[in-house]
Amino acid sequence: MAVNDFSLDIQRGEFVVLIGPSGCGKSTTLRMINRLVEPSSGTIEIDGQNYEKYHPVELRRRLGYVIQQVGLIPHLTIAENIAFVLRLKGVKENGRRARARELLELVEMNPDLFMDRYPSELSGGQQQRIGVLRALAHDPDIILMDEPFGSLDPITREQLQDELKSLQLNVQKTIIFVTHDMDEAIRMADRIVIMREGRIVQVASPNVILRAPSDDFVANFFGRQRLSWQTIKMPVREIMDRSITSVSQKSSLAHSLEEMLRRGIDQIVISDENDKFQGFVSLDDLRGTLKQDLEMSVDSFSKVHKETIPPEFSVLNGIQIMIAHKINKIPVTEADGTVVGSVSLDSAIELLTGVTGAESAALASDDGKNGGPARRKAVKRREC
Amino acid sequence: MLITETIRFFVLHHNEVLKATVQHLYLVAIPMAFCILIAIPLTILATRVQKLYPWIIGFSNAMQTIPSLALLALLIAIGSGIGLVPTVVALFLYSLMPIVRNTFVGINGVSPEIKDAAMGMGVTNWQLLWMIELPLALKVIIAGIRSALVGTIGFATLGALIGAGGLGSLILRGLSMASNDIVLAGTLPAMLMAFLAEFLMSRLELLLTPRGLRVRKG
Repeated sequence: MAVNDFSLDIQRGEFVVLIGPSGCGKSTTLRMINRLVEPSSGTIEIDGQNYEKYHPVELRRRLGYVIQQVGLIPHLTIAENIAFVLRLKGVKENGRRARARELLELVEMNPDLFMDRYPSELSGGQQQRIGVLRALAHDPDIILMDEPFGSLDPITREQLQDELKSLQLNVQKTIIFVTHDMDEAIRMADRIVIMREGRIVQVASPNVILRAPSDDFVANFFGRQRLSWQTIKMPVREIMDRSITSVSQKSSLAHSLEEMLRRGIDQIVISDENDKFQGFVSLDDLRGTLKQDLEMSVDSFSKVHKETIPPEFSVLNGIQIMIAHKINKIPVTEADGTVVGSVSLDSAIELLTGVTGAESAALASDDGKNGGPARRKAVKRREC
Repeated sequence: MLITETIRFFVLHHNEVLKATVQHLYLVAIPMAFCILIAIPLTILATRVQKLYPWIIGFSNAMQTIPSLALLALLIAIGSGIGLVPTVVALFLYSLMPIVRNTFVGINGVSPEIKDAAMGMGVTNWQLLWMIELPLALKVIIAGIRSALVGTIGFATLGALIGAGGLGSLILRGLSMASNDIVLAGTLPAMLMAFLAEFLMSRLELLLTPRGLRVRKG
């Protein structure tokens, strides 16, 4: 039996994500809602009405449906595809085109450019945008989405996730979303429903699931990969090395070198009389220094590094800064200059070794996303 | 010279050639019309009731494997008499296979995700057929009709053997009189007809391919 003993209340306007390993019955559950699959027993109520009161065809026209393979109709134009349900409902051509135009503008696709094109002329990401718009065209209260972004590259996927999330905030639709991607679930969901072998294992908000998984299955499912994803966004404070070795800015280079060699470290912080950060010197730089120069004080040394990061910066920021400045280790300092620890490139990367290929790509795209807020804001302003 | 002889025959007997050609057109058009009107709807039904398909394709395959001359003889043997009727029946049976097969493959070949999405949007069974499956399968169906048509034009010349007339009768007469010019007078129009049919159908195929399927990814 694909789905068994499944009971769930979904609030209006809620974003619910069904997640679980393949074959756990999440898609079947979704397809039961629009009666593409008929349950052998049990019932579904929509607005307190038993859904069997509606004819399947009528029911489906009240819902929105998006699938992973998009399934745009290849011989219809983009405008006709978007307004397909409106056509089924008997809306006239003019009304349909107006609605298609409106929706294309909602996702910043130029209507004049896209209305009369055909699906085969669009990229995968554009096609799936149309797939989502098509589910919005008839303004349904409930939208069912079956791994809608599953076949997209990580960058496009994140973009569409953001767009969908902001769309949902605008239009207040109830969205039931199936995925097997934990990050997607955590990004998008108000509530996550974890399924296994046709049953619900846990229903909770993303935070609760991460903090208090109900059992080992859930913990494992959101396990190792999850951790590395968390790690990279974690503030460096959480992972920094708290042992600090510093020398006074008036002490000599020779003294610094001695300290480093004695403690077996390759970098030492220079602080002023108030113990505030003044910079740091590295073992490598001192090694190339002439013997007579070693007598000068560290603050007059030409190769003093000034780079530092505040403890609330993410591990990712730390890695970026270290790579940009070609240093292996960076001191962590509070705003007032108090040194609180240090992070090394090696240790940061070691913590992330659980990162999968797809996730590393997603991480790489994280940067690009920072260019996105302007567009997202624009989307928010419009009304559906 | 055979060529001049043939031209002479065309000039002197143009009425006769014309009549045979028109007869031939009937011999082709009638069974094709039946085939399109009966076989296509039946095959569409078989795409809904899949149990039907093995019977339909099995029957049309069997008809196609019988040698054409034997099929004519068989029809006479089971008492259909001679002339137009058994010829039309034979041609009908003979052209079933490409049409049945292509119709089925065309409709069944529409990708399941397109149908799934359409179902999920609330199309009725009829709308699924009219708005999604038929437009997408049309090209393949037309290709089936095209190969059936070209085959039928050739096969129809055999109709003359059982008195159905057509261009075959000229060929037969030429053979019995051992005059090649009359044989050619029957053969050439039949060939021309086949070429023309092939050409026109391929144009039609292109014309009926929905624009969205013709566009290439740019």
